[in-house]
Amino acid sequence: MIRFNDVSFSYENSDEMAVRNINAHIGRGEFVGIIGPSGAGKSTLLSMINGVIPHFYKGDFYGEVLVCGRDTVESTCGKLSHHVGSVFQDPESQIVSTVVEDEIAFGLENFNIPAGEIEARLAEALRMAGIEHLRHESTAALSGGQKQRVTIAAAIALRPEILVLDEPTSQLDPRGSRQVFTTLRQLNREYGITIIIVEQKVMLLSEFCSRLMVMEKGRIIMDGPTRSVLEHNDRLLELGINCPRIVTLTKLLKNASLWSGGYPVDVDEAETVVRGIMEGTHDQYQEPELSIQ
Amino acid sequence: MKQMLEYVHGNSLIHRLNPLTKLIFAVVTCVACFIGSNHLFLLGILLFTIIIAGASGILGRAAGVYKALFILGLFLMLFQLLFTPQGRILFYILPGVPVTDIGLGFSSLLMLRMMAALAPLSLMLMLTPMNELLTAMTHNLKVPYRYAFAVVTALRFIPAFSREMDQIMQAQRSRGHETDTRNPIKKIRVIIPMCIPLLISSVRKVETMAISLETRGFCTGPRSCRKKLGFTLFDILAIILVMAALPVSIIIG
Amino acid sequence: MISIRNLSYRYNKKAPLVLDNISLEIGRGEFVALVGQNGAGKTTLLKQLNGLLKPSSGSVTINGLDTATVKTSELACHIGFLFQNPDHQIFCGTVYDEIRFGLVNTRRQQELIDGRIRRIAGLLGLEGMLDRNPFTLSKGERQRVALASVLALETEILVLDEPTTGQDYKECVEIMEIVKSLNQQGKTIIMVSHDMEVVVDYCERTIVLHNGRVLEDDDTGIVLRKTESLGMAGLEPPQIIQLAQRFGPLFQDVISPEDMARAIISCAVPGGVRA
Repeated sequence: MIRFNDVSFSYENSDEMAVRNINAHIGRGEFVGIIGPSGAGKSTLLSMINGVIPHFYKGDFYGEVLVCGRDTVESTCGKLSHHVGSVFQDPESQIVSTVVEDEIAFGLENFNIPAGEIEARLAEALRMAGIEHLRHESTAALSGGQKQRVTIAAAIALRPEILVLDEPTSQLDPRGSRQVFTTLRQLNREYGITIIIVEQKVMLLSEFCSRLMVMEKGRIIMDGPTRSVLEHNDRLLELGINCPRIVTLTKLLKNASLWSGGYPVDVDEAETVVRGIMEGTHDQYQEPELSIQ
Repeated sequence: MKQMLEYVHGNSLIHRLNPLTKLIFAVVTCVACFIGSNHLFLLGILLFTIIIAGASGILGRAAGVYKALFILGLFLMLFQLLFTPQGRILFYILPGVPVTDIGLGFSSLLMLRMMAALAPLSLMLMLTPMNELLTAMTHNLKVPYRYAFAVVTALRFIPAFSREMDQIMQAQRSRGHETDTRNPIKKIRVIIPMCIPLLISSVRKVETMAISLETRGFCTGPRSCRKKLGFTLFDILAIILVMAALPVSIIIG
Repeated sequence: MISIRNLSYRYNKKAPLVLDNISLEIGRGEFVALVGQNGAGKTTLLKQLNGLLKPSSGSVTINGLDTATVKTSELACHIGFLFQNPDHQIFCGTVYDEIRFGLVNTRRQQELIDGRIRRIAGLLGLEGMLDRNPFTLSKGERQRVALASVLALETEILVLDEPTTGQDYKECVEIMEIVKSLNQQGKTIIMVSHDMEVVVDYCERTIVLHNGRVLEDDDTGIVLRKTESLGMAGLEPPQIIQLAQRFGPLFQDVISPEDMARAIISCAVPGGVRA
């Protein structure tokens, strides 16, 4: 669905490569989280999928990015938006309308879709994003989480197969952030939309994503199913990337030889780990080391 | 000032009018105000806009606008008073500064005209969703979409920038920056720490918006329109009523 | 030090109350977290502290100064305020001038300024960047510049509005470690944060605000276990506390992964307490 073939890119007026030698493939229906320190090239990578690079930000582009079989360099942002929906950090500066339904119809009108079909797609997008009740609300009166779900609905109204999101929850409170992630999960599971999200909140990423990509200094340095990336929690901490606390706990339990299974991604799974140990059902039980710092 | 431009959500008869009707109303009353030079006529127009605000249920919000207009008008009037020495002296506001009958008449007319001309424009913006205004401008008035969008977005961004400015001002005041000074030279120095952050954050906002538009097919070709903005009987009545005000203003004025 | 009595606030006479009868005492050297949903009134409450907003009723006093009558620029000598977005305050051509800005405003003696700027820059790891243009720095660095310019005023109280938002974990830890050391030097810290992990790691006391009222106010460890109040305020406890709570009273004092691991080990080893 998305393929990076040895891609490197440097922005205009910059000597340094923002991303280098990227080779990756993202398949249909994946839910991919991209993490890494700031300046690692996460946003650059996303901008190559929706065509913002090289069509909005210019620079030196090497290699090729294929999205649904199209070379993004040959295509345009507008054409790509039928395949890739985009959501950015600040909902305020993405919303162009004063009423929710107008905002969602905006993209459809731009593509000259007849009024009757707009109506159907508008209703569909509202339902998919779970915001039917907000349809007639004024966009200015919404909470941050609601605004961000409106921008998601506006993006999926164009029926893209892929949704890319650049730190969509950085300005939201915990409830708003979770609402956004829950909406994304629904879009992914029920409608098969491929989701690629850049985010600092590792806890939410590990709970919701099926795959994690870790970037540093323009490269992808780790890429795999969420659980196997979390195995390398020591390396993540070295890179300055936070680990969910339940992972830290599980690691301590592993060090004490109380647990040899995989890492939990949410609190439910962590509970299973701890219960397993407490009830002595864990078969590899050994005399533990008691010293934990 | 920001509430002068922001749309107030509602579903009154006037809210549902064709935006073009509202635009015609605003422009015609504005023109009428400049043709008519009769206190009563201008007061009448002002009263009429208040009735409209009341009928559309936004009197509370409009009150703020009228207050702002009144203060602005008062300044204008005072200024004009001081520079109109002609006529019979009525009284002195300050020793050596007389108020004349001509001065009073003229300056109060100016004040009323300013208020009566701006009120309908601000009312139109408060009662019309930007998107509808945009549709009316592009489909009915054939303004190119790109330009109409720019105008409407600029209007929409004013309140956002004003909020941003508040934030910046507060951030600088927290660092001991005194923003309230009367000295005009100091005033310029006071403004710099606020203008630069505003400029930078606006540029960032506009950039995000440009990208967001780009990824939603903005101006990629012909554009469709979800809402057909029809003219109802009420629209036609309203337009006739407003149009009638024009000759009346010429007669009275 | 900070005393808030029956503080209520609304933006204008007809608007609803944003702050509703809040009474708080914050003493010297405390490290307080202010948490709650967006719109709960956190930032409004912070702005009351340095007089950017004045009480509609009730009073706020800082070191004995009533914020209703004292100017914000004067309060700036007592209370440092770091806003969420560093770009809302940075405007100078160099980092040096940016740090200097507040000092000049509060009319400090010229000869003391240079030394102080260099000392603060050193504290925040900015000594090599004093001549650089702040706009060429990364977001994390800009946040440190903004913090430096606030710290330069050497106020006893430091108010931080979501200082770690939009930063990566490393930058977040850097900022928080600096704030922690300032607290250890005796500064009073009041911080708004959405990151319960930061709150649990650094703040001793936590105040939960909901609809303009104080919902909870106690030691962080106690407040973060009040699932119901937190839920009402749109928050969730840190993962470890959530996990610990699923085991009833067994892990009731557990806060960090290390605590939890220790407790599990003592239960799981033969002879320890069984679940």
